[in-house]
Amino acid sequence: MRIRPTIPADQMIVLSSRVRYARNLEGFPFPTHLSTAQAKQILATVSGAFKGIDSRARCTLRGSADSFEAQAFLAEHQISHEFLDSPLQDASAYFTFGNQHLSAMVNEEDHIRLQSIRDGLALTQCLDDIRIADKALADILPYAANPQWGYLTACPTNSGTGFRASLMVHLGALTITQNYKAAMMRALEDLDLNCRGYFGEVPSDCEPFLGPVYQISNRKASGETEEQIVQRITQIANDLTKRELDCRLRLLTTREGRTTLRAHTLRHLALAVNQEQYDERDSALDHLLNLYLPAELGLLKDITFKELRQLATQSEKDRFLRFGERSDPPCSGEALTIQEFFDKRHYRRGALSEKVLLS
Amino acid sequence: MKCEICHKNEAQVAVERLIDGTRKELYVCKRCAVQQPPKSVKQGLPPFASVVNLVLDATAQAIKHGAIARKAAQNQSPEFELEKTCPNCGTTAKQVTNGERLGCPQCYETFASEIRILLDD
Repeated sequence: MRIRPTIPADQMIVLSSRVRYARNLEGFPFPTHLSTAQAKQILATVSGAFKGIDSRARCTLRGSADSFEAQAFLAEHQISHEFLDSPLQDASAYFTFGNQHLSAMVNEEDHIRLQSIRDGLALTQCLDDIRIADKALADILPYAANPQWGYLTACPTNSGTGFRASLMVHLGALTITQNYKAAMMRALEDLDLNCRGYFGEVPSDCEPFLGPVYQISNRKASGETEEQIVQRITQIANDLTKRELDCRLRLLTTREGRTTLRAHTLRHLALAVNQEQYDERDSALDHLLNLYLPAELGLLKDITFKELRQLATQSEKDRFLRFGERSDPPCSGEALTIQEFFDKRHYRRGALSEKVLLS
Repeated sequence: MKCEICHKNEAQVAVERLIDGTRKELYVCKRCAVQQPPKSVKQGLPPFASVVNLVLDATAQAIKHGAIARKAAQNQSPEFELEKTCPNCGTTAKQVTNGERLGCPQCYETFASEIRILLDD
């Protein structure tokens, strides 16, 4: 058996970190109750403030972004489905800044959602990013807040600090070997933490989790400081990392484990390779996320984990593209992106087992 | 309609509770709304040692951080009026107890007791 780790150990399991502040301006209703004129007024005020604190702030109006551009932002977790569907098309916007980790949505669920996203476990650095920007903004913008509730937000669970810290974790081994999801969700719920799916979705019977990738975040934004929330979630992440690594070791060192892992890998490879269309929503992404585990363990010939992550993001971006003229029969953009990726590495249906480096 | 938790008093308020891992809306009396659901409603953790350890560790942390002390401090008897409406934006108490979003900053004053229960639940 050859094991070829493709990524540094400290970047395993926790794929990315994200934090955000929710803020609203005094004297205006929250976005669901805003008139278009009020929403435009807020956008103009906030846009001016963003440019005042950072001359490199760049605005993309929701209404002006074409669906491909919007899909690209969504695939990179920069904007939410809610923002995409916002009725305030011409009065909501997405901002990027000189600090590449920092971004903001205006007139999503709250007037301002300021966020920072970084690779790996980096909640403290993310907190620094948004804190610097928020401090500068607080000098210019009249935030809605009071001593009893702290910062006032459209959803009461965000009131207080308006802070949410979220980690995207990949628990591939725990997910395929144990009925971990339900138990983990219940345990996290008891800790006042949320466990959501890849796009922050709440899983249900009709819409289960996408692959073994979860987002863990604080449920409430009051009663603890930002540092305490970060510390608590980091502790949980470290604990989950240990359990996942133990579980991976068990998978690789027992005959039963290797059989399970090999069957899992071949099944999702077969479903991902040479598909012309993915009928069910998100099914392509589901297979790719399920291949994260063998890729992280270096079990896929000529495919690194980094390449597979890039493919997952790129195929999401290309989901709504149609390449009728480039393929025969015409297939969806995501299917073509995935096909090209596997073709380039000579992955062919019927000859997949030689690509899995696990006996 | 009778309260769906105690089945004795008249239901006066809708609350969300976690039952068997899913969120459900229950119509309950004031008394049950402010109390934790009884054991027959709230399911215990599954016999899964590692997760239980995880919970215990973090519960200790939560106590340390004063989260539980805060809950106790806020456990006051609220005044419920389902017809209550925010004079500024028109949001109703029923919408708030159903977990819908608030309409404006003034909702925090209008629905202070309902919001406290939501945050404690």
